Amino acid sequence: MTNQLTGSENEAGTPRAGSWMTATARRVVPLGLRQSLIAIVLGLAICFVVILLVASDPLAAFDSFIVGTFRSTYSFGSMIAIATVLVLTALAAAVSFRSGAFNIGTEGQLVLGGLVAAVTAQHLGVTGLVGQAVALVAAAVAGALWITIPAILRVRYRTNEILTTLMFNYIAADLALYLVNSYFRDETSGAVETPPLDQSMWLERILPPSAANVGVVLVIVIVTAMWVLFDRTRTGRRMEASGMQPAFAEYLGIRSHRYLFCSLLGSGALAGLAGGVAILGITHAYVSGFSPQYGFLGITVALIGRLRPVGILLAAFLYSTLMTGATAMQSTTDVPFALVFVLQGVLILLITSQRTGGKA
Amino acid sequence: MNATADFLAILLTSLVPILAAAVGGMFAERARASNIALDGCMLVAALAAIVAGAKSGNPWIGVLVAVAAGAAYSAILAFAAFFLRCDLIIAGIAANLLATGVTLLVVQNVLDSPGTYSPTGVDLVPRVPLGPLADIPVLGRALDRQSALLYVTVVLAVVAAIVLNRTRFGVHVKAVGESDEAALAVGIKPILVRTVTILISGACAGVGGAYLSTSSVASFNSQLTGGLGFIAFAAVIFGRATPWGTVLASLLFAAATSLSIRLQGTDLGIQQLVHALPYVATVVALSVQAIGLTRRDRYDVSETTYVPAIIPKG
Repeated sequence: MTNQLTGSENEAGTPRAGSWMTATARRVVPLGLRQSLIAIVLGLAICFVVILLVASDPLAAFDSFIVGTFRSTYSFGSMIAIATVLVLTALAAAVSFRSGAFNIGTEGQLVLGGLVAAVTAQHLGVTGLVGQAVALVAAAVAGALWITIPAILRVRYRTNEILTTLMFNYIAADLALYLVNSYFRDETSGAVETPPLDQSMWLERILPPSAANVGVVLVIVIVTAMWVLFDRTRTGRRMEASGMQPAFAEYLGIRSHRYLFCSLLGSGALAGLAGGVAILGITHAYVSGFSPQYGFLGITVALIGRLRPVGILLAAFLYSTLMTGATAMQSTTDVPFALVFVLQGVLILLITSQRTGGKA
Repeated sequence: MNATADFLAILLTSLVPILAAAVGGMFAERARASNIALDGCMLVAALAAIVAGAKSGNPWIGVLVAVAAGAAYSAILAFAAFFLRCDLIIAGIAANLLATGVTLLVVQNVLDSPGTYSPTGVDLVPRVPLGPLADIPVLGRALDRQSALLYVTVVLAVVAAIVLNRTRFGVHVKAVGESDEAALAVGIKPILVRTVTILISGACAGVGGAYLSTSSVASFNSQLTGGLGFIAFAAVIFGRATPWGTVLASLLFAAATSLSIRLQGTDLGIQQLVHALPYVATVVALSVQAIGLTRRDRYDVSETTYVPAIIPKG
């Protein structure tokens, strides 16, 4: 243990002290297509049971929940707008999961990304597409910066990144509140929010009354890029190898730490970008609490989509259909929106269950 | 002098939920069954405590129901991990999210309140006046009129230390944590021991949850815990899951929390930043520990496996 070699690339090692906290091989959780499908069906069945328990008119509630989205152009547009954000947070989660780390802090990165986007868009002086692009890039950078500390701690010192990124969520919420209150607050408004953005900074709407916006094009481009990265490039494969078997990756000559660090930064950037898209596309001002837990919902969506970009795209549309359906359900019946959060937990449990997947 | 005493009083107040949850989490962690859902257990238990307290009129029934609810909720985690064979960490994260959803649903739909449930006429858990002992300098003032749950928690911590280090069950827990194969070989059932430790951790978190909702004000919303369960989990890790370590780590995080509460009272204009102090303290503590460990094990390639790897199949 005390030999004086320099450099952190290790050759061989003794089991780490306190070995009850550590083990040698990663536990691998495979996600099969069948698992996803079974989980969605079972999850909806459980939702139906919950609705039966709490609603006075269960059938109407369930009807709104499932198909309420398609009743009006407005709710269909909201569905697309929400899906746009969910795809980005889900990709953020997927990038970190596939590289072997758990970024649970997407919520915090999203909030700060949104704030930075709002402030940049406000004070930039450039309008139109260029201004929007700069604001979105700034949001992504903010997200990446916000995960830098947990990422360094994880990569260099093997800190439990689940806890650190999670704690950074709470810190981000406090920081955003402080920044808005002290510097960027709209004095004419009673709520904690920044002044509304100039219309030229809004992402162009595609179904005018609703919030659906051209962000969806950006998202499709990013999904394609991620698909190429994961499935068609060496980098993607190396990223995954270094996530699952870091030591093995090192023997192959892959600097696993570097890949892990870059993937975590990428994950943070995607989450920050999601915040920027939500601000420029949906709320048009940083409003405290603008995110109905997009970050955490992204984790669920990533798992339903089996961490594959195209799967995530489908899963995001499915889940945002349920979310807008839940909004409709909340307004027409007595079942609250919170059903979405119940479904979220149930789905994660069912999808990662090794029992619903059956054999191989 | 009084300032110190008042600070100590706040420290003890913030200690209860952290320590109660951490003591239980210690068992689970020791059996290598990290209960990251402590936060969810606390939340569900807090709701159970306030509802049961309001319906029965007796706060102690509320506490008992909270303990039962915490254990029952952690049973979901055990069920998911050992019957559905989910990964424990992922199942824990899911259980936390589920707890937010379930409590919101219950508060909004079953209890018909917009977001914060604060029934009127609920008896709070009694506070213990020290009588003549309150005249002891510093300590007397700090301990006077603290919630009875503080003493419950302290007893819990002592009992936990004794159980873990001095009883057959404690040895079984540690054995399972060290090696499944060795435990199996001498006839201990690892899954059974893990399930029991998870239930214990849920029950202890239940005490913390009951304290949150029924000790100073009787109100509940789904952000009530504010990450205290995760801070408790961090205390377990920072304390290396030993009884003393866990107690000291809980004290440290409670100190950060109380400092934050104290500074929020002063007029610095940075209340929101100060509010983040406990979370910052948690991150700093975890990183200091990790840096220390890394220095010591500089030439070790074995990775920690807190983190499961998820891969798309097929």
